Amino acid sequence: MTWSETILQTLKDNDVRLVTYVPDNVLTPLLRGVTADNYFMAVGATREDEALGIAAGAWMGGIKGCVMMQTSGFAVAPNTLASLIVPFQIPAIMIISERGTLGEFNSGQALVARTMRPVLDSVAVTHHTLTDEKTLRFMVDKSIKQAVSTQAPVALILSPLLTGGNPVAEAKLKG
Amino acid sequence: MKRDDCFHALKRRLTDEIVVATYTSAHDWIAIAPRDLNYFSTGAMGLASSHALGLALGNPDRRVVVLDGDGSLCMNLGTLVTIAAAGPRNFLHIVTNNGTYEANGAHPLPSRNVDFAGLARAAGYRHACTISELADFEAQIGTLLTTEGPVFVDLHVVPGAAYPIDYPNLYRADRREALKTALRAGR
Repeated sequence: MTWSETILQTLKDNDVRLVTYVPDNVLTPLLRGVTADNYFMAVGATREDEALGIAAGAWMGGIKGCVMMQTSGFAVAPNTLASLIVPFQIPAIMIISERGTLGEFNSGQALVARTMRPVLDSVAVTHHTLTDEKTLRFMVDKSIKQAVSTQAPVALILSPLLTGGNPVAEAKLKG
Repeated sequence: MKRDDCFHALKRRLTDEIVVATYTSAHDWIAIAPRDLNYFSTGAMGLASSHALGLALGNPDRRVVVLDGDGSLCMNLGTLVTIAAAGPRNFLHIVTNNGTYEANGAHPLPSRNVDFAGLARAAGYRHACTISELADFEAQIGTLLTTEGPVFVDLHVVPGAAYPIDYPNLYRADRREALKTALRAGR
C-alpha cells in the first residue's frame, strides 16, 4: 500500500466516514481516494474553520469526521480549535500536509509552518508527525481510537519524509 | 416583523427537526422553544450553518433548521458554496437579518444592501427567498419546512422582546447529550 492508501484504509477501519477538506497538492492522493470511494462522505469546504465546523456538527449527529488541510490553512483554524473543538470535546481527526520545511521555496510558508506546533501545544491538542510507512498505520489507528475514546481532537502532520513533499516546491528547487 | 414572532410561528410547525441556533437567535430560541433537538454549542462565530451541514449529512432522514444571523453568515460566506455543493435535501437555512452584529454591541454590518437570498441562489441552493412580513412567513413556513433543500430564507426582522443572555446555560454539556440521545432514539 502507498502512504495514502494506508491512511484511507485506517480511516475506514475506524468508521471515519466524513472527510471535510480544503485542497492541497500534497493531499492529492488522499482527496482522490476519498472522492472516488462511496464509503466516504467527501465535503470540500472553502476554509479550514468551516471544515472543522462541519466535522463538529457531524460528531453531534453521530458520524466521525476527518479534516484535511495544509499547514498555512491550519493557521486559519486556531480560533475554531480554541472556542469550539477543544472546549466542546469534538474528536476531530486533523490530517495536515506539512509545508514550510525540508525544501520549502516560499518564505511565507516557512514562517507560518513554525506557528503550527506551538499553537497545537497551546490549546493542548495532541499532535504526531508521520514520517514513515512502517509506523504509519499504528500511529493513525491508535490516534483515532484515542481521540474518540477521550473525546479530544488530534493532529496528524504529514511530513515530507512520508509524502515526498510538495512536487511544485521540488520542481522549483531543481530550477 | 419581530424575530421572536417568527420563532413562535416556526415553533408551531416543528415536529422532529433539529434546530441549530446561534448567538442572539439562540438566546431567543431557547426561551421560546426549549427542546432536546436544539443545538447551541456552535463555538467559533459564523459556523452555525457548518455545524448544521454536518448534522444534516449524519441524519439524512431528519430536517435540520439553522437559525443563522446576517452578521454570522458574513463571517462564513463560503458556507453557501459548500452547502449548495453538498446539496443536503433536508436543510433549511434561515437568516434573521437585522443589519447588525447584534451579539457584539449591535454595530452595523459593512453593508445593509446585501441580497442574501440572491447570494444563496447564485451559490446553488435549490430554493431561496426573502420574507419581510410576518403573515407571509406564517403562510410559507410549513411549505419551506418540507421543500427539498438546501432551502434559504432571508428574514428581514427587528429584535422582539428581550430574552436572557446566558451563555453557560446555552452551552451546558447536558444539552449536547440530550441531543445525541434524542438522535440515537430516532434511528
